[in-house]
Amino acid sequence: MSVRFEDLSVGDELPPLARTLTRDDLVRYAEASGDRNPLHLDDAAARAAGFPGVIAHGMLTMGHLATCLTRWLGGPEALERLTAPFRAPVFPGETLVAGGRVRALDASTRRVELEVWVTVEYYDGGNDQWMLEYDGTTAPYTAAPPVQLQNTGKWRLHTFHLTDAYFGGRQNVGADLRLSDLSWADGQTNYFGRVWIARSLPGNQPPDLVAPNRVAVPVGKITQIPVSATDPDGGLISLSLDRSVDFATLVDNGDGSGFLRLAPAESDMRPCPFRIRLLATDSGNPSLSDAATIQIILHPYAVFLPVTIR
Amino acid sequence: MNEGLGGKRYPEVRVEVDPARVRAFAHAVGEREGFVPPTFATVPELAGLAQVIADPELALDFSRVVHVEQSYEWRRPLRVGDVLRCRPRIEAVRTRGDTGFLTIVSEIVNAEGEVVVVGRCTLAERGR
Repeated sequence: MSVRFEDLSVGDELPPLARTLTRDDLVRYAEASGDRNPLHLDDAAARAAGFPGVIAHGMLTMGHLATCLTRWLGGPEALERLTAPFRAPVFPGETLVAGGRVRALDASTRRVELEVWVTVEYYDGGNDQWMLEYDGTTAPYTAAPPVQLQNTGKWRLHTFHLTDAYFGGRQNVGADLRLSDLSWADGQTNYFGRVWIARSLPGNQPPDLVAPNRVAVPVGKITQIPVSATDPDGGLISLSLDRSVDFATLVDNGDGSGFLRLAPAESDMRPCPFRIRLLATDSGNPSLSDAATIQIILHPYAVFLPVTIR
Repeated sequence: MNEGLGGKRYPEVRVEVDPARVRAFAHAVGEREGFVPPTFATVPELAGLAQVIADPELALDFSRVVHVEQSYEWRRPLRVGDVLRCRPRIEAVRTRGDTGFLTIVSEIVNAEGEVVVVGRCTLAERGR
């Protein structure tokens, strides 16, 4: 049982926690804390110090107050500071009642751990990696696992599931996250589109189909072009041809992968490229698709025969 | 008490957050188990304070001492197995009427050198 910041209002009362202290409690606290001052254990010593008998450790009273707070907060993590002025002695047999009232709430300094899903739209050009760095609870520059580019020439989506986001604006004087090109090895700038941040798992997301942009295949020969699709939701994917040509067939392995089987004949040769449109459709409800267009350029199959010239 | 001791630092004292000790402490302050009670910080703090109280240069009459105020500032929760070092320092020694006030600030750091909790303890030495 713990409180949530959102549910609090100024003036709210903490559930009071009562405890009647016994001499045994004082002995137990002395042993556990290491504070064996005779003032808390020996009546004669207490009388010599001007009290009618033993008094409880101030720290036992404070410990009881801390217990009241951790019960209300659900644990010790949220407790940042506690000050206890000890105004009067507490004698065995007396009942301590710990409680409190919410005096102020400051939404700007509250610390909470957020579970969020961040979806980034990015242009898949080049062969390097890009990364998301976010303001996390452990560090203002927490890195999510990098994303590898596959040079498909498409705008794609990637969703990160962050369980320790803090988003306190501690990056670069006020930012919650940043997207960066992890290396300049491919000499290409990375482009990013929209970013969505959700407090719950996003609904069904379209699959992500990876296929080459352009292929050159010889006529009179069979060429296989591998294609593959993944579903961010982990659903099943079916592959299909949306627009095709006579010499192309699609083989769907059923696991998101497959290949295009191209068997062009000499008679298929023409000067401009063919376009095939491939679809990957997920099993969500409603189901969503991703499409890829592949340009096919046919060229003569070159056969080199051994020729001997005398 | 020697009022000239403000700012004096004492050697650090090492205290391990022992599970049996934590259990006994949790029981003593009515805390449930599963975490280290926040005021368990008293254990390393007291281990450091012992040398301040016994410092002949300070000349504190401990039989006339009462604890008048305590505060803790936690930077992170204490954990079982933490190896803590307590570094006590006298913040101030003052006299008001016939009562002397001694404030000791104890910085409690973990094995990585990170400050876990800062304790501020004010003791009063009452007049005879």
